[in-house]
Amino acid sequence: MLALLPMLLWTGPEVTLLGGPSRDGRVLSNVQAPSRDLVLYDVAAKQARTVAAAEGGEYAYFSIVSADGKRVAYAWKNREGFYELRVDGRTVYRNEEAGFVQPCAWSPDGQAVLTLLFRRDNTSQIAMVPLAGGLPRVLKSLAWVYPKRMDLSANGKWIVYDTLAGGERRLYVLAADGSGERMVGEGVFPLWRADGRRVVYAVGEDLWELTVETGARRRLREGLGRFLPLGMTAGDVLVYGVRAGGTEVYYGARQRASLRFPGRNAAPAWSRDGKWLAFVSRRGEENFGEEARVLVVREMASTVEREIDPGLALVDAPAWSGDGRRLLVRGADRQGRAGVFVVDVATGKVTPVEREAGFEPGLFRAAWGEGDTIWVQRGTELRNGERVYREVRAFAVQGKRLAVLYSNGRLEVDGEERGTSSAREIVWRGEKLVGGGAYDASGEREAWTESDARNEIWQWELPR
Amino acid sequence: MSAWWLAAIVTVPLGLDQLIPAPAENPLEPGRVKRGRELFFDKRLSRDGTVACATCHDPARGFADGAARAVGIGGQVGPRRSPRIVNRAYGKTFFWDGRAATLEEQVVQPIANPVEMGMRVEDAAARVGLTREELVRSLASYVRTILAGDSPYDRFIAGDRGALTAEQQAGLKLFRGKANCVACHLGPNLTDEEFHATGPVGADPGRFEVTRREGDRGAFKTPSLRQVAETPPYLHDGSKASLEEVVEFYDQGKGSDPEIRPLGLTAEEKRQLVALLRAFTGRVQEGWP
Ligand code: HEC
Ligand code: HEC
Repeated sequence: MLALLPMLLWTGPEVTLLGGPSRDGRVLSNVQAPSRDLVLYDVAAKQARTVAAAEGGEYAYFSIVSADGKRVAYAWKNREGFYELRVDGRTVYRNEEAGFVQPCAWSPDGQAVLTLLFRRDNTSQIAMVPLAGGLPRVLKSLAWVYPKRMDLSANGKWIVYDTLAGGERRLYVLAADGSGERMVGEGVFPLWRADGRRVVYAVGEDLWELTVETGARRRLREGLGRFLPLGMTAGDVLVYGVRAGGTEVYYGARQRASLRFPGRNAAPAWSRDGKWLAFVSRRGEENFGEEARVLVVREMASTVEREIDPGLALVDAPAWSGDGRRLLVRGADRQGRAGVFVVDVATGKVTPVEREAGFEPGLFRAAWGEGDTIWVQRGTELRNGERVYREVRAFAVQGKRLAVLYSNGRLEVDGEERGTSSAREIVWRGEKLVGGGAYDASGEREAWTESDARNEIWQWELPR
Repeated sequence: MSAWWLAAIVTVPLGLDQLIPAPAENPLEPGRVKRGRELFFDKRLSRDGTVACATCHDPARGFADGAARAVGIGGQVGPRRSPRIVNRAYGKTFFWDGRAATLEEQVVQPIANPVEMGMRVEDAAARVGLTREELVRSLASYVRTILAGDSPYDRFIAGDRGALTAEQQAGLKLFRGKANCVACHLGPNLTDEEFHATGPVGADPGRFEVTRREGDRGAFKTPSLRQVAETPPYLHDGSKASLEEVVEFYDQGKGSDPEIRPLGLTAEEKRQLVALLRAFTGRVQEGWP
């Protein structure tokens, strides 16, 4: 008999990889883009039914379908700005101190959900969350590192998870009653096969299998692309997501800023004199997120690209200092503290400007002010030394000039009212304020990010 | 990496991991824990029969002894302070300088140490009618069951917003932000289990003794902060008499570790941090429940 080939189940602009299949493989949960509504997608009928609609800034994130395909457990970003665990619209776990939750598997009896809890001190915890209420049972805590995925065997006895240990992504099997644990191999995104004895996982773009008891391993399939295993059906069909397309930095007459690592570049910044272009670039293993980890600096005259690895867990939104020697970035360090950092372009040395454990990196913005001072926006508060502005949506500085866009849409330039704006972002282009893009000091050179990122959901019936 | 399969389950206090790591060669088992508990209080393990583990690790004093330097047989004074030995099951290395890799390796050292108990381990084992192997396994197993948790801090982390006072909550904000304590004191056990030079380098070379790396001179293992309010004095040499003094020490920020720097804390902020440190005191459970 011919081995079955992988089959494309679903693709389109609405597909994220924040869900998985039911045990019978008939439905997929998905958090729709860009609405962030949680849906159940009927694979045969090709129809999506909304389970939880985003509203008023609240929306769904990770989701998993129960064994009977009837219930969905999902992370829900609430009004207070943290994530709670919900099942079919009902909150089952809500704790600001563990403000990020990733449900990974249902217990076989449907009474509990194996969930990753992320605490504000950047500890991740493997926990069983009871659906009837009561405290989660924390089986194991990990400092500064987090499993990308974990899964519960069909009999509910064994948890498999991956974590960073000694610089490698390693796989562990943990008894669900907390009675023991064992390192079993290397790789990411582990899922149990239906027999509960074998685990499939990713190594780069290849799919591997490990027999836990014997340690025997084999490569099941090569070159699946940038893939993430999403779930396994009772019939041993693997459902996985593939990231196709990507984000790219362009400049001038739509020239690509980099030919290396295509589809993984974003957030360009011109040096003031327009001689250099900096941007961020993704590296390393796949993730549910799309965060970048390295800075690339390109000299425009020679087209030489140099890569700077600042050793941060996350790096974004670079901005050049006036002397062209330093880049101001926002991000998070390896200990999970979000904030604003200065990176020395020649040495890669990182100096924190402001750091805070348990804060969202994306809520920081920073810019160089006059005389190398630094403006930091943390949430809605903007500061530079003694100068403080509140209820700020966005800001832009250029030398002495300061534009502040308030949350209510009021725009102020150099302390003077300039009407209102609905823009989310403001940027100086020479003497003018615009709603986005990256420019040199003259405002003549422009660079921007374009995305054709697309996700696909595939299935493949695993060989025996 | 060694294998960690375990046989039995102990119910842990709130805030701790259900998985209590133990080596495959010495799984937690009630009989051995019980024997270890008896041995822990048994002065026959010291040469002159005057000192037990519990002399320096007194359950009534958070499993420490309240002295700046440990006092062993014949009144001899050792170079370092007796640490609180709670939640050591979750430890990665042992002693202030991390020279022991497992609790099995650790528990024999105080027995053999001439300043502490001053006995050949084989002789100590013979005195209590055990093999060396069984003595070691039993003591290590008992130490693994000394667990501290269920503090106001744990209840707060578990979601009870009223478990910490406003002052303690302000302290927690500092702990994670401006005072940067969370760089080293984190997780259920409030330690990264790593080594840091938090103050000026003194006579004790600390971790350097183990690694011979210059950067490790004066570095010590981050202790868990659980039950810390119960056990003055502080630091490896017992040089700080109170939590207020420890916070003052961090405010000055004179250590060479990159995470240490002057903090510029106000008097009120210092009080808030101390208030938080007191919230790490909870319930201690030991032995087989
Ligand atoms: C004379 C006092 C004294 C006695 C007796 C003593 N200890 Fe200790 N203990 C210490 C001191 C001091 C240290 C730290 C020594 C160092 O770091 O060099 C320590 C460290 C430890 C540690 C490591 C804690 C950590 O966090 O790294 C454990 C565990 C321990 N002792 C258990 C025991 C056991 C079990 C016994 C009995 C066999 C015992 N101790 C007897 C003083 C004592
Ligand atoms: C760079 C890592 C690091 C940071 C940051 C740090 N600590 Fe420590 N802490 C340690 C180490 C290492 C020790 C042991 C030092 C010694 O004994 O000399 C320690 C010891 C302590 C002790 C004494 C415990 C005992 O049993 O003696 C307290 C209390 C304490 N720290 C509280 C804090 C507070 C509060 C902060 C924030 C202001 C903080 N720590 C920041 C690493 C750190």
